[in-house]
Amino acid sequence: MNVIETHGLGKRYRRSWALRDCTLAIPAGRVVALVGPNGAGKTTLLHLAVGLTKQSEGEIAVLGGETPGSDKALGRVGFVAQDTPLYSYLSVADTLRLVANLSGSLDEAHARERLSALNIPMDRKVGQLSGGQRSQVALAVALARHPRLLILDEPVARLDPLARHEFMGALMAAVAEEEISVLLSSHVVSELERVCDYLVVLADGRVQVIGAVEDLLETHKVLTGPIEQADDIADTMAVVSDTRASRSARLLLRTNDRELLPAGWQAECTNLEEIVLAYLRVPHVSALPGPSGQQDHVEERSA
Amino acid sequence: MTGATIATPPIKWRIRGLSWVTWRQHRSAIAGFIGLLVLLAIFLVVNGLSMHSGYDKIGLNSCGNPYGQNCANQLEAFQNDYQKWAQMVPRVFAFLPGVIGVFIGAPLVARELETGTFRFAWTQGSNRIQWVVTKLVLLSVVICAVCLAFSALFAWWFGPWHSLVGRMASGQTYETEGIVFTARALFGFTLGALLGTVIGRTVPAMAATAAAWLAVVWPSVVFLRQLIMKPIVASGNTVQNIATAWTVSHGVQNSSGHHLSQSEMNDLFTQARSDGINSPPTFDRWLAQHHYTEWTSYEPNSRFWHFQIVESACYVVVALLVAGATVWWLRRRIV
Repeated sequence: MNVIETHGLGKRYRRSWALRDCTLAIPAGRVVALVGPNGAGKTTLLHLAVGLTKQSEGEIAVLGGETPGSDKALGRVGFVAQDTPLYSYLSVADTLRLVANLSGSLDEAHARERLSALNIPMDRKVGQLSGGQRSQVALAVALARHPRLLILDEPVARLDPLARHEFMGALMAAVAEEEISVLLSSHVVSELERVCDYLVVLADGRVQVIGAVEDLLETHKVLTGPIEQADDIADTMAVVSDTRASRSARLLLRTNDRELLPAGWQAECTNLEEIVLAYLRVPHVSALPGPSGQQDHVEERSA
Repeated sequence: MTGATIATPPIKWRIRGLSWVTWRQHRSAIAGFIGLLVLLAIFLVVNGLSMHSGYDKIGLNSCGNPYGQNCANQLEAFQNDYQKWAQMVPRVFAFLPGVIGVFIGAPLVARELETGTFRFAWTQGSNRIQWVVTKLVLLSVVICAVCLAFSALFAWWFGPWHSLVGRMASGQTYETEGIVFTARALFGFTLGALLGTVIGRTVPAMAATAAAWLAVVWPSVVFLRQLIMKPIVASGNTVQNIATAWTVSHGVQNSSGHHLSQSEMNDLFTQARSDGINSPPTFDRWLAQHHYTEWTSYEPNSRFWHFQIVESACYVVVALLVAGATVWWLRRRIV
């Protein structure tokens, strides 16, 4: 089952397209990072997935065919919106009661347990909590509804490094306990490798990269070698980024192990952060699954 | 009754679901609104008790026709003591339904949109249509109940004046007595909800609600109300029950019954002045000599409930349309 499946999905606000021609399928049981620069359409995609927005064109389904925003989908998709909007005049306890009454199914004990472990007082007004505590309340509320799919929009963007670490830790522990799929958007790339096992890069309202983190790490290599041969390699291989110093060149490329390494060149593994940053720098280069599902092409797209 | 039904434990009645959400989120607004009306009600009770006893003490209740010779002194005394409040209070109260729209209707959705909490509220399992319909319906019920009670108290307060000035007078007691007050509050509330939903920011939505409410209510009082039933037109100055009626218009007509326009009246003034007439009483006599008579168009006091019901029905229909537009906008238009 795919937790999210879109086909030619597009959303237009007045004259400009926030998201366009977005086709993707995210399998269940993953923790998916949705990455992209500001304005790439991340929030739009997430709002479409939770039914806060209606698409202008194309199709989107969640949890194997449900329409986002339908009663069935609303009951099984948890959402933590950007900046974790909660009613600041409600106490934590009243926030739980509010959600219990809004959703009709809240595992209140589950939420209370989680919040008391974090020393968040139940009688405190949400408006008086720190940013980290607020996010934890929003997460606890979302998890206590036992969603099958949990969607988080920039959950850690406004948190300090410690709170960010704690939040991600809490999220990961919850994912390990229950079988939920998670889709979270972020522009903090450094956190993602620890947490996510699937990556979607959006650029300019389109999908630029999609795939399992494991596969991406396997198929992307950094080659370093003499600068004179760099052009030859760039012509024959799928180079994502190309950094040249006075004598040596450092190329991040998409390859598979069968390809021969040119003489005088060294291949190294790379990390997710470098791959993501490399793609973000060149929004016109995409890495999408080919027709056979093999990821062996870097495609140039006319801008 | 079977044994099984008797055996079931008594169900403890508790507000649940979206009703609880509505209660929890709007209880302070409702409390503020009821608090304001209670303060005004206290004034009405205190002032009303004094006015009722004053009416009896002065003897207006026992002198016969209040406009007759026997009552002239009593009437003057009563008017001296109580007319100030009786004229001012209804004029102020006429705006209360708009205040309800501004303070309860406009923030209903606008605040959610402004603070971003709609992204929380509409993704917790209830869909936004159920959410807004529950809020609109429950708050409407509360507003209507409170307003009807307030109008009833107001009618009691104004009681001593009923035999003197009636309750038809436009812009006066008519606006708060009866059911027009409540229907207008309902209209104000839904209007605020719609404008808040469309505008999406609380303070501009409140300002727009105040302006739009006045823009609908004021012309309806001044121009539309007399269309409910054609005013009775009478000539001469001995119209029956004119004191308790709403005088829509009056003027001068010639011997063939033609109502003189303003410019024709000006011509008459000029003509009279050339005859050496320069004071209103002599002008009236001059008019009579030249076979001009006065005419008056009025809505008698007996039409009060007919007018109240028709006017309220119009407001309720408009309120329902506006509420429907709110739901439609929420479903279709918001991002």
